[in-house]
Order: sequence, then C-alpha cells, then structure tokens
Amino acid sequence: MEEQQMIEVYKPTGTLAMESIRLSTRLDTLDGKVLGIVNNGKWNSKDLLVEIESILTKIFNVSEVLWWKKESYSSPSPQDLREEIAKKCDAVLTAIGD
Amino acid sequence: MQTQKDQTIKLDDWKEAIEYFYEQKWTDGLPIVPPKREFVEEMLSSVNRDPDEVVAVFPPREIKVTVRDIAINAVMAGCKPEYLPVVIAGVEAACEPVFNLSGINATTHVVSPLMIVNGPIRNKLSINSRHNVFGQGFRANATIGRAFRLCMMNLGGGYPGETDMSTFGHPGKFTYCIAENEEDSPWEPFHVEKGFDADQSTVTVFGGEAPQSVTNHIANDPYGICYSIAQVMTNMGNNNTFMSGQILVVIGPEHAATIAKHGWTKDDVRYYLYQNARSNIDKLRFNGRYGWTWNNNWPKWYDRKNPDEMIPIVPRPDDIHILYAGGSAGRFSVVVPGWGRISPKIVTKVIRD
Repeated sequence: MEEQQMIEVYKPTGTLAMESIRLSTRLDTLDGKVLGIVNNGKWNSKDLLVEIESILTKIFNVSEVLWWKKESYSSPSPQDLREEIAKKCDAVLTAIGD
Repeated sequence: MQTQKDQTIKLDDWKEAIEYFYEQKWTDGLPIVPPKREFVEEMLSSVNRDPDEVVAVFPPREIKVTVRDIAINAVMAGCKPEYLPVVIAGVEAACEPVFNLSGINATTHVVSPLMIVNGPIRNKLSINSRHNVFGQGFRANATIGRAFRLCMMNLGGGYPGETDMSTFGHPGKFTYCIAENEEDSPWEPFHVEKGFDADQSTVTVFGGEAPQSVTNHIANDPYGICYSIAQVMTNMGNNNTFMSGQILVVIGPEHAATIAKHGWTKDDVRYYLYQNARSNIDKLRFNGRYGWTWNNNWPKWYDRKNPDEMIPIVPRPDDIHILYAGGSAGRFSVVVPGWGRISPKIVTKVIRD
C-alpha cells in the first residue's frame, strides 16, 4: 500500500520570532526599598492601595513610597510611564479596586 | 525582523489537523480549515503586500503580526482569498491604541469588535447588508468576522477565562461583521459621513454589545420611531447608560423610509436621539453603579446638583453612529450599545489591495 502523504500546515500564533522577557528578580525584603504604587483609577482602587500601603510600611522600613495614577483603568499604562516607574522603584504595587 | 524557524507542522491528514488545532486551543470552538502552505500562498496572492510586512502590534500579547499571520487565520476561518484585504484592514483598525483592544479583549463586559464594511468592496465580495444582516448564511460576513476573532485568539492571545475575562461574552464573539446598504439608503453612506470618498472601501471597528431589537410597528412619523430607539438606547443595563462612550444605531429600511418621508436627515435623527436618549441623574447614581462618585466621569456641564437633570446617553451627538441596513420587510431597527468611554472611539481604515 502506498504511504499516505502528510499535510504541512502553518501554526497560527505568529511567524515572527518573539523576544522573551523575564520577570525581574524577586525581592527578599522591602526594607530600604522604593515602593511604587499605581492607582488604576477605579472607584475603590485608591482606598484599597492606601490600606495596603499602611500595612506594608508598618511591616517594612520602606525608604520611599511613590504614587502614580493611570489615566484610564482599562487601557495599558503608557510606555513612558512604565519606564519611569521601572527607573524609580524597586517594587511596584497595583490593584483593581472595583 | 527574524522569522521563527518552525513555522509549520506536519500532520497525518485533515482530520488529525482539525483535532490537533482543537488540542492546541487554536480555534473558536468550531472546526477550522487546516492552513496548508498552498492555501496560505493562495490567500496571500490576493494582496499586493509583502507577506512578512508587519501590519500591527496585536494586544494583549503585544506581538508584531504580519500579512502572512493574518492570512493563516483567514484560511482557518474559511475566507476566500479576496476577503483578506478586509480582514487586514480590520486588524489595522482594531490595533490602533485609541480603540483599546487590550481592554476590549480582557474586560468582564460582553463587548466584541463589530466590523462595519462600506464602499464598493461590499458588492464585490457579497457582504450582506440586508435580511439577517447580523445573522447566519453569508460566507463573507461569517468568515471575515471569524478570521478577526481567530486573530484575537491566536495572535492576540485572548483565551476565555485566562486573558479574555468576559463574564458572559455574546454570540458576536464568533463573528461580528456587517455591511451598510448604501444603495437603498435615503442618507449618505456611513464612511462618506466620516470623511472618506464614496468609491473608497473601508472597515470601521466598533466595540459592541449584542444587537438589541427596536420594534415599532405603529408609528407613522419619525417621532414615534425615534422615541422607541431612544428608549432602547437608555435601558438600565447597557454600558453606555453608565459609561457614556459611543453607541451604534442601525435603522431598518421600513423605519428609515418613514423617517426620510418626513424629510429628516441623519443629523435630525442624531439630534433627536441625543435630546431624548437620556436618563435621570438620580436613577443612574443609585440603580447601576457607584453612587455619588460617578459624577467625576461626566462632562462638566451636566448639572450634578439638579435631581431632575437628564444625562445624555453619550457626551456628544457625534458619538451616536447611524447606519442603514437590514431586510426590506419588518418595522425594526437595532441598537448596538458600546463598551463606554474606556474605548472612546470607532476607528475606520481604508481597505487596500
């Protein structure tokens, strides 16, 4: 019997090579670190984050806390904002607060 | 731009290919046409573009997508090669940052991009604009919309319950593509109204809920018909009622004939709807979302201290988009509510070869 010919199909998930990005190294402690907080702008987001900030600053000796607010809770943060946060902070905290 | 080394896979036969794509979650739940190399090459021959040209950066995966990537998904959806330029233009439109496809993909809301096709290509490709315009039975509508959804899943990475967190979704998430019936419309075509030439073909994307029917079988004048449309626009569950943004009204031929017979232009309809599709401020505060704090998201000129203030469904008359489509029989129109101000604008792109 003649061997059946296989079919060759494309994968549908993108043909360009993607650059893989790794997560930053995890911190052991927040002592002496700069903590960034990003309020995404939802109605209870700030209340929730203020509460978490007060807990974290009680537990750790955080050197500084910096706050930002997203313009739209449903859109990604602009690239320049992300870069600014990465440059200034050792850790970043965000939450939805719906 | 480097391409991946293993772009293709070899499988025993069609049946295995269909099952394999299911296993990989590379389908919307329906069987796909296996994207064989020769099918994809045939699809690519319908456009004068480099197959490796980057068309857009597709969120939320933020992947650079090429003409070939879109062609692969168009083959899978069952598109004819000549449909490809429409799918590409749809991707270009939806990936404009102002459309916020990232949010549309991820939200818990039901929203899905609706593709609206205008211009000569509608007739060339037989994209339905008449009976059952939102329904089944038309290959172009069914497969162009499906190809876009497959791009959202396979290129954008929008998987239900993982990155697509829609609480309910809606049937338009399988395919959501319509055309305007420009030939029978008493008004200028939608894309001409938006500044394009009549002989240009365009795709407009609108982030929409499922279509909501407006029945009015009794009114013989524009006021009665438009009153019914305004009532559906302001129901207490849709997102525009609480989130402003933009909204789409598709006026059916029988309704449009009555409206046009009385000399109303599209702008007359738009201004009537803007004036009448409004909800009481206190009703909005305490029947849907967030009480008093909601004030912050409205334009300054809404009188927040007046308990009788009536809040427009969208901030400006131009945020009401009006189309002419649907079957010739039946005194119906349709309202497609939007996602709200978080996807602030429709985007229109010219379809090119």
